[in-house]
Amino acid sequence: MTSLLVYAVVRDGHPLTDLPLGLGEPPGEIRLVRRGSVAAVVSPVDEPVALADKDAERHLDILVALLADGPIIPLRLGSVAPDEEAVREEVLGAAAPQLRARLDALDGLVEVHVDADEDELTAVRAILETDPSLARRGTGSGTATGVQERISLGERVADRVVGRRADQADRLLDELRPFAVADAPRGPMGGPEDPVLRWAFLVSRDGAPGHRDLEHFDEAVERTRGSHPELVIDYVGPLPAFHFLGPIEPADEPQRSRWGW
Amino acid sequence: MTMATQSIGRAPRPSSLADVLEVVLDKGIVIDAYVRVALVGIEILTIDARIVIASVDTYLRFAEAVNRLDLTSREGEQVTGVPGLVRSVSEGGSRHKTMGALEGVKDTAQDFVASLRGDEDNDAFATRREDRSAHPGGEDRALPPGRSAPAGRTGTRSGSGSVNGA
Repeated sequence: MTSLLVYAVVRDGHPLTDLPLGLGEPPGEIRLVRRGSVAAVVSPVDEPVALADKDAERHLDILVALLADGPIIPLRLGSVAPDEEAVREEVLGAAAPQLRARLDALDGLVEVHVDADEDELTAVRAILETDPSLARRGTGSGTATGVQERISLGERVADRVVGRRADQADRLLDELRPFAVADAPRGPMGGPEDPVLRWAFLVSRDGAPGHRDLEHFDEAVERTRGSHPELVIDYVGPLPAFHFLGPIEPADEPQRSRWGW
Repeated sequence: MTMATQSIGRAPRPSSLADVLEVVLDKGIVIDAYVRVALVGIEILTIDARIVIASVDTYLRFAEAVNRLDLTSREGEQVTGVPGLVRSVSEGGSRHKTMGALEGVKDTAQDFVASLRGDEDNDAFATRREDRSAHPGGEDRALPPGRSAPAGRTGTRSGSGSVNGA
């Protein structure tokens, strides 16, 4: 029995060029199921559908390849429909006009991810330099001093690390936000076990008024790397606008995206 | 020049499977009207090792970092020595920061411990790990308030713990 994996919703004229094969074993060829001015990107898959984490990579490859030729609204990985009729009714269905409006709003926009982290020793060293009293408290505690005192010292240092990471994140956002259309947090940040920044930015793929585009954002990231040599900054994209599928908010008011229907 | 910047500075997609999962899992729309369309779960074969670290461990690790930096300065090591080490560790570990494949983290941690110790006594690391995994209460201990503990930084963490326990 064959079902359909559904990857994304695109505009009905999407060219589907240079796509890998679909997920599942054996992998099926990717095609469109159209309804009105939108289409669902699907591939046939044998039941029972069993997906593993490796399929996530191909799923992302497919979405990124689709994104190269036009706006996409990604569906949750592992969306399976029994046939084309179910895709037309339930995925496209009554929402088709809204989907088309969202796609048009996302046209030309891509998401990029900026992850920043600082080596822990580097952070602690910087903190000790600004507050030598912490270093004096630490002296000799490796052998004789009690565990409680070490925990207390560590807690104070951890608080400083958290404060330092919050300041660093603020500075990074100040430097990058002027070049993004919108932005949103992507996960835990700033805690003693968290990275400094884990953020998504929405930018225009091509040149845009106000320099909120990929080229200028690239340059902004490079400048940020130069001005924060203490940070390791990972920069990934262009990706589908996973975090901006809802209404696009002004850059100064980041919001978690969600769907209203 | 712009081309060079783009090709070097921005990766087209996440470098590790863990990071791909972070990007893809639980993302994308689910339409309320699904009746016949189903969501198939993803079997996570590669990564299931999200290790929860207690706040006390965090604090002891920071205290240990203070000691280590203090020892470094008192022993008069080259100032560039430790930053050089830090740089290499952070680069090696950054691939695993978000979630981290356990094997990769383990290797990084072992390298880290070995480099700190001048490559002596690698067994302490393995012993420490066994202690940790055998600790039945390990995952029940509380996190710092409002914090989650992504597992990816276990490399540095375990390394410090090992040195700490020695």
